[in-house]
Amino acid sequence: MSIRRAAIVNYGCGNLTSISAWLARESVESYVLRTLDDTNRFQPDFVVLPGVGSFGPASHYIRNNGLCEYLIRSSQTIPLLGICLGAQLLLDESDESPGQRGLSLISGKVTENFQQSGSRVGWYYSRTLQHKIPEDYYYFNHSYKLEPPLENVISVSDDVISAIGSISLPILGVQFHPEKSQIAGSKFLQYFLSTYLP
Amino acid sequence: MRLISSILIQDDHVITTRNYSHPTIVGKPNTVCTYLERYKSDEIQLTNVLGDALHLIPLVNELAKSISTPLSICGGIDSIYTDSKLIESGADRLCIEKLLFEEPHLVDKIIDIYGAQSVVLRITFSSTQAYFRCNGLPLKQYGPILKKRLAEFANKGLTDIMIYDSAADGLACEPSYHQITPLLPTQATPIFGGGISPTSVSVVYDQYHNTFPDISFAFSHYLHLHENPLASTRKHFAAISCIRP
Repeated sequence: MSIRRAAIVNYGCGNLTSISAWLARESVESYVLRTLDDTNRFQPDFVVLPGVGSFGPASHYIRNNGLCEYLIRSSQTIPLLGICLGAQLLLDESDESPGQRGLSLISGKVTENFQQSGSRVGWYYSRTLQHKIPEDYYYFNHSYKLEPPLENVISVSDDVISAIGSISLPILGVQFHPEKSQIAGSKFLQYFLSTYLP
Repeated sequence: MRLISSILIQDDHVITTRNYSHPTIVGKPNTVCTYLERYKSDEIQLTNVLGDALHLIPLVNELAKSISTPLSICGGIDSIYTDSKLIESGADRLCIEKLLFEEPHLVDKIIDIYGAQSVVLRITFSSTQAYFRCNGLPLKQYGPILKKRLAEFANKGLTDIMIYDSAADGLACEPSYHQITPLLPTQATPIFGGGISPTSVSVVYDQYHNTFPDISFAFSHYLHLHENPLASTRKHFAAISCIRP
């Protein structure tokens, strides 16, 4: 089996070490993409948009460093995996940072759901509606929720959308953190690699 | 409900203490955390007893490479620089106590950058002597100030609040939270810690599961006994849908 190579987008507040270690456990080589110049270094087999942080600063960084155009262009052919905030950035906008735009790779917005109940932190079961993302308990840690059109919903967890995908492009976004979901996270990555990089 | 493992770090070792004194070495962090992951710990909380969070960065980095359990870091979170280094190294959540008491405006900044979900507020208190460990003030005197502050943070989505009874050891003194829980906003999701044992978990759960939308437990001393409490507690709560099997 050939070594897969992933580009991890660093927008200044991501958990890069955890993501690269998670990928390495499944023999995926990774490098960090911080500016547009970094995109010329080598061709990744897929791109990971990780997620710890707030929508506004992340969106601002991606736009100001030319990564927005790169992500939109590369996702036409190279699979893109958005994790947590990374999944939220795939949509148009977020209530967390009004006025800041997402990548609009999937239509929809990120809305505030937890004003009354606070953040949603913990291990929740994710149930698949389409595709075959392994159903399991994953680690969630978020204050805002994905709201794409129904056709883009792949998995749900209680009343929260846990995974979204593009119909025409190789784009998958997950609200949970597979890199922090122990065995379930490994199985998820195996699924992603076999489905999006056959 | 999360079952959290709370471990103390000193000089690159996991230690146990008696009320933060008389440290005893338990083992290497990597070994202990790998063991805790095997027991399906929902989260591992690392506290540097010397209060220097930057010192934990190499360790966080090492752990992030070897385990895939969420890590939260306590002790010495005092600047945005420290936060960014910890998160980049593999920390998922920042557990804040000193800033909550002394510089709450910095907590606001951290929320703006990392989101409310990345922060846990921690309140260490003594149930027997009725004071806050962070500033030494009596619960009655400082409680109302803290209550107002916690409500403000809850309105910004920050609801994970760890309340840690430093007087309890689960053996000679059981934890007691009734002096602190009235300070918490109704939307708070408290994490009960300090002397939590498989027995006290049931008592605390019965007391508070109807008061708050979600509650969690942080085991510390009991983790290092011959019978790990995570598996037995998980089994005990198996009938409750809010805990993973």
